[in-house]
Amino acid sequence: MTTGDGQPTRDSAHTLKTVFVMLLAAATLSSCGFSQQTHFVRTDRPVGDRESFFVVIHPGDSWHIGRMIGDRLRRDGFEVAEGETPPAEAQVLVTYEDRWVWDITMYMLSLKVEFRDAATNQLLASSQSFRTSLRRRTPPTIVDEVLGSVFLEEAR
Amino acid sequence: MSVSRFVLGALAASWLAGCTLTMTPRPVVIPPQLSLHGDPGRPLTVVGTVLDPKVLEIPQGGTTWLFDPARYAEALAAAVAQALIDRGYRVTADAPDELELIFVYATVVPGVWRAVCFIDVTAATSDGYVHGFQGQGEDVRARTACDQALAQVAVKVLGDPAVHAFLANERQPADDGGEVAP
Repeated sequence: MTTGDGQPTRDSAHTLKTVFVMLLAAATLSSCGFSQQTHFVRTDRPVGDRESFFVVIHPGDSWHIGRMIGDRLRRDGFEVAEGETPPAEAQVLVTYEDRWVWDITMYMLSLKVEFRDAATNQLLASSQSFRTSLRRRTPPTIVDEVLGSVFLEEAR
Repeated sequence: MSVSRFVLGALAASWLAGCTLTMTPRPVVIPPQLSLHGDPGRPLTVVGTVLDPKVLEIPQGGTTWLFDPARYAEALAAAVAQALIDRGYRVTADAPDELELIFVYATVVPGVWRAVCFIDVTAATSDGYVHGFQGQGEDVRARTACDQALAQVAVKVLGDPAVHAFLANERQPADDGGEVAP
């Protein structure tokens, strides 16, 4: 596959270029279509046994994710308040971290929600969704997915 | 052809290298200026345990990094024990006063360019104090991000006023064996 002077032929250069383009395309597509959901639940301290939740709204929450989380918990029958400073009577603090990126439109790349014992700051449950562009979902759907996995795991 | 073979070989080698990253964290560095007041000389036991020893599979860059919570718990306990020894404490295996560091959970958010790692640890002292701490690290590599997170947890635990009170032997044991407020 080389010429007489040891140089690669035009065919081998073409093959190399094809392999490179295919690898690049595969890498691009696989990174755009990746999704992962993970969660952790302390079965010895179930979140569902607690009554009073407080969603700690972070200052940059322009998408109102904190309110969506609160609404979702209320639908499940919990007593929920939202705000920046937790009251003394809160049993569980709910914190979240949403990451947004741009791909034609803004979309939520990841959402992580944590449940902590308000008195001791111990982690009771954590759930996370990570979805790249081709697997993107609306914020309410992702909130449902993230919280649903916590309570589904506890119900098992 | 030899050029394309070389490229494919290099790609395969880098993929394999990524898959076989060590599960052991690098040693945790606690800043020497971190001071503790207490009762140096009093024997203490420091143990690292895990809530769930399951090894986590963390995807990054098309490969999987294996994260072993047990090794991270050991590294955390070793770092905290060393920090106490450096400050004059006697750390032994079976002292009546014990500081337990329970590795609870790690989450890694795989970013496009940078990974973010969160590590959750519960510190429990033999006088009944229980408190949760979280460390956060961010780096191109998930492993480095988790090393940073672990170091941050260690500093937070040793900087906690209630842990200081325990080290200083200033608090009475909880009556009901429950959790002592910080």
